[in-house]
Amino acid sequence: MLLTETQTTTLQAALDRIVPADDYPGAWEAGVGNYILRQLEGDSHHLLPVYRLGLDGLDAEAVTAWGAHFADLYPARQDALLANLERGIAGTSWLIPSSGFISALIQHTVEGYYADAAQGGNHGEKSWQMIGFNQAGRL
Amino acid sequence: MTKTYDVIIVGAGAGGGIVAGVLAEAGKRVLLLERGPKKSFEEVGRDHLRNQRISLYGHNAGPEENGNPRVYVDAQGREHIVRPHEGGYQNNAAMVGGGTQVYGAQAWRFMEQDFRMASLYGVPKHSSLADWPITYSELAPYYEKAEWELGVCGDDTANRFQSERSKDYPMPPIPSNPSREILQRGAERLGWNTNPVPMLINTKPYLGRPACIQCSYCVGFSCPSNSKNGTQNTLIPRALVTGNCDLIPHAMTERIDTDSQGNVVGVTYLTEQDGSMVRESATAKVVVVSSGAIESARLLLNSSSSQHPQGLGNEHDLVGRSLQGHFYPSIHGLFNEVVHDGLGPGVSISTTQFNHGNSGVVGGGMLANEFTKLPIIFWRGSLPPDVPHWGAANKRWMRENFSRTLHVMGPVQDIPSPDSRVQVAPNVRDRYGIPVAKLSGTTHPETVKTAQFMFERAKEWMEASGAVRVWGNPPSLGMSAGQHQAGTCRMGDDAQTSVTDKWGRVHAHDNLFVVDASLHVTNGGFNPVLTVMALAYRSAVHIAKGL
Repeated sequence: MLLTETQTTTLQAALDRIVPADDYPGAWEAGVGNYILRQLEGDSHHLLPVYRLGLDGLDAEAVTAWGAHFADLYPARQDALLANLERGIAGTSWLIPSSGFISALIQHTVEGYYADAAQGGNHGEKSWQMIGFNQAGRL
Repeated sequence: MTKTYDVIIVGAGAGGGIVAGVLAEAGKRVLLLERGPKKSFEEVGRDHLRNQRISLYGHNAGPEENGNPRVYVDAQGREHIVRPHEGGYQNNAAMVGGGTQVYGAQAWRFMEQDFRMASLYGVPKHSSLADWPITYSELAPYYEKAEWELGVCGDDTANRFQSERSKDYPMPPIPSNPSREILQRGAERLGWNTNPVPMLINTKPYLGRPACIQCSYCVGFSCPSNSKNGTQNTLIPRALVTGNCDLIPHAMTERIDTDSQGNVVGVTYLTEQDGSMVRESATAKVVVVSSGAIESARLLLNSSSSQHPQGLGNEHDLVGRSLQGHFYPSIHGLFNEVVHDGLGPGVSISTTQFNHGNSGVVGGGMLANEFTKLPIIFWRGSLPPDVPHWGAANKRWMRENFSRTLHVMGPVQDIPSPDSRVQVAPNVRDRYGIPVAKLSGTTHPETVKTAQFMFERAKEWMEASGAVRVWGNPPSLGMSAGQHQAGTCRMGDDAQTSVTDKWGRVHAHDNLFVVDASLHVTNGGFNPVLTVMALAYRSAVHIAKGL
């Protein structure tokens, strides 16, 4: 496995704050987790250590600040932690720059959510329906 | 055994494809070498992250990611070895058809002023701005040939600033859309002339291929209905059907061969067969280099010999210099109404009001609305500066505004600098062992002035059209090349100041031609492909006469 169970749980929670569910799916439901795992085995394989350290770091931040796993925090607290880490503001010590990890995570998440489904995310092309991207033409 | 041809053409893109078609139909034996593959629609695919419009992790139309590096020298003089999808590489597609299978297919003629920039504006200090050795009128019949033999749609009466044309387009323009109506309204308020964008796209069945279905994948991808016209579905098939043309994909030309007197006799090229490199040579009466402005210069420079120690055509250190492309000043505007109807190509209205005659700047440029965007491109480049890049607010903004955001931009006339250049990097080699291109320098600062002027016009247009909010980043100095790369083997009458004559013949040689955008003395304020095609027709007819 590329990621541990806890890392996967943290990843799922983070993805669903980057693109939260409403009447259209959140990132995890749309398959962005698949997309990211494919990236970490493929073109972004060099980021696998960053993801492992980053997800551990994200969870450690939650435990230090709130005494709970990141995945168990209220969404507003998850958002605040992500926003701080994106700006490099951390409550624990990081072996990698937190901002680099968060910005890679955001970029990958949005790519998986809005790219073609063949990349592993965007199940059912729901994001395209949501924004009005039509690829059928007049057919 | 060495094969013998009348003509060897290196590169099966916009220029080489046309030369192949014209010469094969004239009964000449042609070898057409292409370093990239021949790809079908399915093989090009629809990967939103790896294509010629956005290449986050790779490309869909070559060159291959591994084994094809270039060296990019940044503004601080630091050298970077870059792969084809990475910044600084200045990639153009490498496949049969070159960029023409995956381009957006805007089909502009340059204006008559574009051929005499130095006379019109004077030469800015440290610039290599020059007049062309030919006029618009000399090229006009070949523009017409390209428009009719490949197929261009447009409205020949709408553009008040276009130079004289003697024949209509073969097809009517792309149907109007909301973006066009909105921008038309703004232009009318400003008193600006507009026109539908001429495109190498079938709006009705033409030359055996169907009409466009208006999907959203023109630019960066192959066409699903084969309604977008490039050399891969016009002149190259015409060449092949004669039986006179051998097309070899995956064939990398190593060098142009010369004899002991220094005369060009053929080429040596490499192919990979069963995992090993095979080196072959072919001879010909004429060699035509059509590899794009960066690769054509590289090949000439890599073909040095004892008679030509600086490379072919490079006696005056001009090959590779004055590398040009286009700056694209760009403005977004948000509207209360829906501006996209979900039909491609999206680009539908343009103005050439500011291509010339602008006070205080050299040249100008065309402005048009942008092609339908892939959603990920929109997210990366179209958000206003204060909109968050993630979270509920970002999702809401994407949802509400993808269809209500207009993007206007356009290519600005590059003011060339001799210091923007292609050299070879002797110590960095590609998969074939050939020294790679090294790119350095920036465009002339005068280009940035013109780009800033056009940035302001784009903003004005967006505001007059009723945008409730307008945003964009002003242009700044940098290298200009990319898919519109040009200028590295410029044509001219004087062998001291140009690489080729007005037919594309390399000055010191009787039988070596360059036929692609390398010839462009200046690159116009327009997408350059129709000019590449027109020049190719003109050179091909000239070459055929001499054989």
